[in-house]
Amino acid sequence: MKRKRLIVQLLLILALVGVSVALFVIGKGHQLLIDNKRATIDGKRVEAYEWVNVYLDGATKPIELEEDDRQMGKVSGPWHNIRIEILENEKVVKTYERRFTVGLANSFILSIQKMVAEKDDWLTPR
Amino acid sequence: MKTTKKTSYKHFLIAYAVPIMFITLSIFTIPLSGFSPEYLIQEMIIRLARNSFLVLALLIPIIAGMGLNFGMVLGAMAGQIGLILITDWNIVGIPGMVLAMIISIPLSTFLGWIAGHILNRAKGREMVTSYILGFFVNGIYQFIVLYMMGKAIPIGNPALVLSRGYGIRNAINLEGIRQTLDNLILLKIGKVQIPVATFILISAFCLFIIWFRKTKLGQDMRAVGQDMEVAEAAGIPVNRTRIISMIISTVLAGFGQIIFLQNIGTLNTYNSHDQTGMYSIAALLIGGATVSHATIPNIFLGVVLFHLMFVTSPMAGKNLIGSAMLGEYFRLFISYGIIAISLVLYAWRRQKEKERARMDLRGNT
Repeated sequence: MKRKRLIVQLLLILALVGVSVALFVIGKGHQLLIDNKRATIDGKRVEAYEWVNVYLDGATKPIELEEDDRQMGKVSGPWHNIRIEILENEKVVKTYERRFTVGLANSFILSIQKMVAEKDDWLTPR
Repeated sequence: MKTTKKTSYKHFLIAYAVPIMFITLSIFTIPLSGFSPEYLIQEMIIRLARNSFLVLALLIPIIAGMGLNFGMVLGAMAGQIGLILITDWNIVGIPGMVLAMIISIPLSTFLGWIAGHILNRAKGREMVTSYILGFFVNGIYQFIVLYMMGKAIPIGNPALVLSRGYGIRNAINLEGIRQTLDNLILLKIGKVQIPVATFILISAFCLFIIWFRKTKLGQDMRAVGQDMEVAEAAGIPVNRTRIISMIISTVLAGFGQIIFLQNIGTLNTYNSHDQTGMYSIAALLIGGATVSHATIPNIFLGVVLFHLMFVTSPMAGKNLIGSAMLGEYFRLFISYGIIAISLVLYAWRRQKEKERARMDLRGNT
């Protein structure tokens, strides 16, 4: 009887630890420093866009970036979605959408130029 | 027959002296404050959501006959340690809140266990013992938070640590979990917003207490609360039951403090827990509860009346004599005064009951 009780208690503690780890991963907040800056990709210089709207995780209000601008976005959890609109003369000329995952780092740098060029290092821990 | 009716009125007045006094006071302060009914309703809803869980945590020790648990600040401190850690790890939203609660469980359980053992050695003087115990554990909490965090306990977020390199800052911004529970399901009726999710949680807790009273452990607690010697003779492990009641109360106080602080959005590292016990106990007593008897309606009535006074008195004081400070003093005077009045009334009522029982035994002569 005592042994059975001990096993149940141990299982409960393990379950609690498991839930805590899951909550840690799901609830982990991350800062994304989004860059719309001139970048060098494969030896070529890519200029900053005139205006970019960034929508994180289906947000209705965009993060707006001017040319050579850096803005901060906040997300939580490991799985995310990003949609960017590149604007010229106040008109959307290109739209990109991408799903991505982040690790447990607090802060990341996201380069729009590298994302559009589909480079692997478009999102790097800071 | 006339005498019986008169006696029952008298009993009613004695039993509900404190809520009647507060309702009367509110009748004067509400119009004097000049606040609109809409504003007052919104404030009361916010404060009900913010404070009810903390006050509910006081019920179980009362059932077990341990009086008003001034030691609930122990749980509040455990909850705050959970909040400091999740802020450091940057865990946000509902997961952050739940994780803070899980972190607080072992700490609260340990503190509740210690408190239970100490209170078992101070039977009959539980309230003053738990009050002083709160001060003692506050010292340990301050030692951990002020000296160990950042040194022995790693804290990586520089926004939390004092400029000297260790110790937690006086105020912590809980923006990651600010009102996450309150805003989870928000119902709007006119201009009044109702945090439905928080009230669902509070209702679940009320149901838990109703269910708990009917369980074997709940019945044991009631038996212990009524008469420890009789309970002991009936084979109930009195000391163990009392310890369990303290553990449950402390754990729930920790949860209550987390719910309270997610609503406020800022943690005052060294002060937030200070008044938790005092204000919760004052609210419970204002609702008509006593040291030995408290019900769920007492809690909600108490929170509304206490906070109605809290909201209206500074403005009433300002409008009446041009100084909001008077209202501020009045608030403090009320919270401490009401505990004193309730304890005096309780002692007086018990004496009267004893006298009446003696009279009945003598055949009312």
